[in-house]
Amino acid sequence: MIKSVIRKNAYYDSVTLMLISRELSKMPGVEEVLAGMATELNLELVENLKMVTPELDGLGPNDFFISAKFDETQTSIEALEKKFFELLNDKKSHSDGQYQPPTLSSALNHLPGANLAQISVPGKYAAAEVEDALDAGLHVMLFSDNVSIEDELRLKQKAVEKGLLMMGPDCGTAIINGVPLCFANAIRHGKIGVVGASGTGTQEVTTQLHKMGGGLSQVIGTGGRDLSEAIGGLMMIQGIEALIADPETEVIVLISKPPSPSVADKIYAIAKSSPKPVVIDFIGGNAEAIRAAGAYPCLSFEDAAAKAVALLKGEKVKDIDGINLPETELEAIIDKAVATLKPDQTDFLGLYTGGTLADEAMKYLGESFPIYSNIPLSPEMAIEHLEGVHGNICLDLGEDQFTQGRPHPMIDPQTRTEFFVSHVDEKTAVLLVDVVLGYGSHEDPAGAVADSVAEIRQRLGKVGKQIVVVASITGTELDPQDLASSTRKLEEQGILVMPSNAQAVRLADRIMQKVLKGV
Amino acid sequence: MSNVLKVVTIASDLHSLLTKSSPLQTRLHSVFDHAINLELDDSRLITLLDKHRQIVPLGIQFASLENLRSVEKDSKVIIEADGITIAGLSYQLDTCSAEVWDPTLPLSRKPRSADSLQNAAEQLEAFMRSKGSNGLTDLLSHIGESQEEQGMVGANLYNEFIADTLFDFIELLAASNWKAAVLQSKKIIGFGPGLTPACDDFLAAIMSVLVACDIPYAPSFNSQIVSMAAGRTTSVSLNMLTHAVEGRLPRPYQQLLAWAVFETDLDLEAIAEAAYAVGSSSGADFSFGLFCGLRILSRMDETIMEGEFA
Repeated sequence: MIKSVIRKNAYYDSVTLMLISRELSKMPGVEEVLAGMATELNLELVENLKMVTPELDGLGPNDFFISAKFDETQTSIEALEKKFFELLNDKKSHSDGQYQPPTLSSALNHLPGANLAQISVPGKYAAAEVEDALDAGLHVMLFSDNVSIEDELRLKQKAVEKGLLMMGPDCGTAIINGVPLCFANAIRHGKIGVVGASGTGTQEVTTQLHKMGGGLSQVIGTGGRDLSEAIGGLMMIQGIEALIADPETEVIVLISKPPSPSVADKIYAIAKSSPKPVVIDFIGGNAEAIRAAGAYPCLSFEDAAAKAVALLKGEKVKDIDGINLPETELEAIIDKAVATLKPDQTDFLGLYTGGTLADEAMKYLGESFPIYSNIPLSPEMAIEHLEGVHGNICLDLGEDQFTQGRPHPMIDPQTRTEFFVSHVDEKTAVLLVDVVLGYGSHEDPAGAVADSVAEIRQRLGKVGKQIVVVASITGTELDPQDLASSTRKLEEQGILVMPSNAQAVRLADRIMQKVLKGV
Repeated sequence: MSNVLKVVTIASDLHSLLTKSSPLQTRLHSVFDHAINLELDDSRLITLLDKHRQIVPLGIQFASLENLRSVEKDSKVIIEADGITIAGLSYQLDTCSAEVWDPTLPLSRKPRSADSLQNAAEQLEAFMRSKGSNGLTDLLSHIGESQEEQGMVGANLYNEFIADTLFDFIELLAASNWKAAVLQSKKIIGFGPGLTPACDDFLAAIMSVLVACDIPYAPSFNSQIVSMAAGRTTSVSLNMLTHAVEGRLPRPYQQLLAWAVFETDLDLEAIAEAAYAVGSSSGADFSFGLFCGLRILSRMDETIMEGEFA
């Protein structure tokens, strides 16, 4: 069935149309969707695809059309049209659905009691907005990136002077007084406070401690550069002090990529003087220095969550570094997985939407085999140095190089979908992925991964091959996407779903060891 | 609500028009999140922008458009040098600290040599490849291949449809076969998704690089392209092409073109990133057109440039 919908003299911007066309194409039974302006040549393309309908007669270049080829037993043009305008209105509702103050001062007039501003404007304009917010006595969560380090330092110094938080720039997650900001999961309220300089790392810790029965008082983001020499950890220090002063918080967790040594020393000194226990996961930070400060070093994000929960419950604190399965059962899973592979399948591929989760994976796997990346552990392992087509690769698809002109892959899975097509081939043995649920994330990230894996299995099946896919889900049963159904969708495609990123990485490593060395 | 609108930047062509001819009677043509188009009687568009969009020819950029966004399509709008009346409400324009921006290329700079143009094309190609698939840049890998070799593996529907036609157009221009290229442009203008179809962004780049490099037949060629475009593309895109005939471009495109044709210390990456931020794939399509334009120039010799336009 082929049908068209038209709107005379209607204009939609191209970014909106691109996203909407993609969403419509995913509807059940839809084979092809063309949406655009009815120029002569665009209509010629419609004709070429044999999608012409009488509605398109007489349209001109300033008229808008959607033409769709679909299976009418599964959907209808009315459903497509409805979905189109729903998507359009969904986008517009952000600006038209309710009063949107045009300036910060009018926002404060509208909501006089507000004490926090969330700022997400292009980076070059962000500093001025933050300045205004701090001057108005507001804490700030700055989602924008591309803010200069000089501006970041100046604004954070100003925030410290005023006793305010300036979370960011490029701050992806926070939960303040129970309100999730930007990318954040639905976590029960509790007594553990987190200060995080890495977005998905913080999400992984918070979801893990929720699964272990813990709850959160506050989650304070700092932005990824906060623990650099230039910034000096101003916001992490501010955050720790806020949690120490917070009567509700009983245990403090600090998350970051490895800080600069001098900043680490400052953090350890504050941890040492903290009246509350402090758990520190600096992904490969100096465990001895952390212990010397009376704090608790961690092996993984999962381990950080477990230690925080143990401290809260007054239980013995121990390292969590295994896989939650009896060894015999684990070996059976590994043997079964490896048995599906052919001898020439020896490549590892990690495709991550969360950068810190990719970091955690590489830190562990990099000790077993060389791994190339766009965020390499050392310069010589940069993806540009990979000779030839094949090798062990782990990519952070949320990096700027992959998100220019398109949404972050946690919002729109299309970027990773394309990488599944272009990077998974007959040499790939193990594919490792993350699935991040929560507010701000795509409505069904697990479904998108499952669809891609189905395509991979079909494609490789034609040459008599299969691959092993290992995944973890960063999310809770309270998240809008539903953890249980997300897990089910992955498992239905034969994906090995592990309870944490750390365990998924360890399982991937065990399988690769068996592939490469037979052990 | 304030009745003063702070002007951040105003294009010099609009500034001149308002100084000489205001008040201008216009009709509200289209409203987007960060831009509003006003249509003059002669179909030219004046574009009101907020600070999230870069200035364009016949454009005026305000600190915010919030006060203006509630007006309905086809409303009468009167704009003059110091004020704007929209839906019966009058606003004063505060231009005291506004930048007046010239949308044409400053031709006083030293042009690149032929070798340097080739080098600029290579750098631009490397940048586009580093950005991955985006609009027409999918076709980068297929330039210079025979049609049998092309195969178009992985290309989207639009690119698959237009590739051969586009490559033929490039070949005709490289051979300075201007007349045939104009005819071929009929099969390109207005094609592609978006309000400025991808091929129009491509053509805008080709036309403006010809003007910037002072190619003798560029003025005639460009004006024929625009004549051809009337009725074949959207009014927004037709306006863009009309400006490009004389080398007037949106600021990010202007800067990228300046980098491409002049000896300069400017940083390609920052400039090209800004161009890529235009539209969904418009910036990438323009970059692809600029790259093709540079390659075409490097293949023209002076004899061939005389061409067969007579």
